[in-house]
Amino acid sequence: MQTPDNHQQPSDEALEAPPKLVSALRQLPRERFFVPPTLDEAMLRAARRTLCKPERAEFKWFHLVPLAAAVAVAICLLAPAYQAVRRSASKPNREPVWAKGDINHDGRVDILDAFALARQLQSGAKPGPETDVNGDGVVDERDVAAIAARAVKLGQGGHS
Amino acid sequence: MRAALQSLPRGAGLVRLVALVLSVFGLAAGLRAQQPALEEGRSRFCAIDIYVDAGATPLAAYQLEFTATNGMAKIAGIEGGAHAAFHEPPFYDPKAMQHERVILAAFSTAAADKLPVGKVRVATVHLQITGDSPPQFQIKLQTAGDANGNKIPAQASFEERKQQ
Repeated sequence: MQTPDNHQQPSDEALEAPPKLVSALRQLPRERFFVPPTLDEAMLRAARRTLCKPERAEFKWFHLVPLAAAVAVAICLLAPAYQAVRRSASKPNREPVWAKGDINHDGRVDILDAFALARQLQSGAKPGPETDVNGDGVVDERDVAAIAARAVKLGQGGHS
Repeated sequence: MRAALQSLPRGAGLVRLVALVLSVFGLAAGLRAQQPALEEGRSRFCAIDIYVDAGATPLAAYQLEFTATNGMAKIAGIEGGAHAAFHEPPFYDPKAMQHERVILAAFSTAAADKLPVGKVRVATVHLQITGDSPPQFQIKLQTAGDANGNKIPAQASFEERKQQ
């Protein structure tokens, strides 16, 4: 689309300053202004600061001081917790928990457990409270019978 | 049928007699035909002796599982074994009664020299057998122990007791 020809630029030959402007320029003083060198240098520094890219900050060792302090504080705070975790991990495992009635600690309750408890009772040894299988507060032949009954108990999924 | 026979003419006495005889035979044949059905409900009892053989090691404890596998036998009773150490009936779950499977276990705290060695009858299982097909059994030793309570290798077996 063509634009209307209203904004045609005048040719170079047609350029001519207005007479008023020409006379004003001719009336300007012709002597040169004195610019102090300090002002000149100040302007130059300001221009450099503005226009030039900032230089990369130089590495200084004291820049690490805040970081080192933060690390030290973190270590001081976390050390007790770490020690506690380490102590608990290095502790020997707790006593394994055996099934009630597993007197010989072989991982299952069978007639050998009843036999083991019966032998302890027969020998006069004082069995521990964990052998009180029927929970009546006394370890005796009834606990032996309870273990044996558990050993022969038919499972839920059996044929019977 | 009687009414039908009476409705026949008087001269047919021979016919009546024959019909009566035939009806009697028919009734007998009918009863005979029902006999197998009655036999199905019949049952017999047998005793299975359970043995454990621990070789030369004195047997102080055992635990085994006995099962009738073809569903023709139900457990009716359990008694102890031959040796004094296992003369008392073993431990078992009372729920096994009238079922096909039982776990038997027993021990003796007697001294080693009073415990059985070799193959010994440790228990007897009495069974009620139904049907004509022979029952089938399975036995599995779960554990056996010596006088110190240590596990020992052993074999379990069974035999049907001969009828006396």
